[in-house]
Amino acid sequence: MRYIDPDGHQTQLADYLRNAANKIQESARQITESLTRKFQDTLNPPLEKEQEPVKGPAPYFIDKGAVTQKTMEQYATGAELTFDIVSTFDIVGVSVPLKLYMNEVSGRGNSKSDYVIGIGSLILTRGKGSGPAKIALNEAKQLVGNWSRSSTFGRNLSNLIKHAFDGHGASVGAKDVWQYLRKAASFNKKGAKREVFENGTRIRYLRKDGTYLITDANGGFISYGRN
Amino acid sequence: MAHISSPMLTEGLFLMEEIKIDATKANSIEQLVDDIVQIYAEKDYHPFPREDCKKIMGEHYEKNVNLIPHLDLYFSDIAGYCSWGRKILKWSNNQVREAENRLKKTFFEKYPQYKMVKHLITEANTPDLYRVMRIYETMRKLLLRVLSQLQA
Repeated sequence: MRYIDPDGHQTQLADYLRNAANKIQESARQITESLTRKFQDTLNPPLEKEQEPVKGPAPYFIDKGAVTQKTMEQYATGAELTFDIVSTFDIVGVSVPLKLYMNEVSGRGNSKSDYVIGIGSLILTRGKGSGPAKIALNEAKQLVGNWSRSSTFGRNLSNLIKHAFDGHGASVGAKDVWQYLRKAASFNKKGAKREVFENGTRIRYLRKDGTYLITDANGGFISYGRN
Repeated sequence: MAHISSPMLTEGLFLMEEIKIDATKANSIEQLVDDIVQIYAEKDYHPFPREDCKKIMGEHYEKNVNLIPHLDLYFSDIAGYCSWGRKILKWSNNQVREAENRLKKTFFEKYPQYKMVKHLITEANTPDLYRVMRIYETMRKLLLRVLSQLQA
């Protein structure tokens, strides 16, 4: 059987339907593409503009934070670092107050280990802007301030802490100086066995888990380790 | 640089070998201090001998439970004085006397409760502990020499 279109409208209708179908298909494709792009962006965020490589002789402001952080991490795990590196990549101006603080604390100038301590603190807490760095510095001051100024190291806390960390950091599971200082600060003296010796100038606290803390008569830390 | 002869080191507990620091030939007190600083730098290469300590604590653990903290403090005291370097030469008489009092005794004189394990510390049995004690004993002796010269 053969259908004959009496008024010729059938062709127009077919064209209309074909166009409509094409439009729907195109819209669907655009929506799918858009959703796919958003999904991919969520999974793999695009590089921020400031992270893109920039041509020029002095990319000083570009990603020195990342470079510094990497350098700091290496240093905190024992790699060598010089003061030049710290001051060159001092992104939030921390090295100057840190240096001044350590000078004040030690009274005998700085050594590289001063910066181990300072830098170690910055790794874990450094963030965008100057606020978090200030907090980190304050926290570093607080943690360093727990240590004894009347040990045989005198007021050079960095040497004292370096000595203690080198000898016992691994035994208490501290990956860097910062972590070591925090662990020492969180040592719970309650319930620990207490022994006073050396004419009362030294006190040793020993916990059941084998960790111990040695302090001076004023409570300043001299060492923290594990039996 | 030559050596400290062994008789100087054997008056303590160990039959120590010669050590490659020429304290005996040091021309001046400054050179003596420099030798101390050099040994002080060397001690960083030797971790705290915890395993050897545990080994000699052995079955008398309860009696020796404080061995590691006491040894730690003993080492820390010596290292602390060494860390001053040439600034030692500017110490006051009080500082010198205080340091001398703290350094005059060996570990086993200071903590006689550990004399029972003294014979176990040998190069063969506890090499790490032996080596580290040797370094600290050398530093202690050299510091005492510097301090006595400062008082002279």
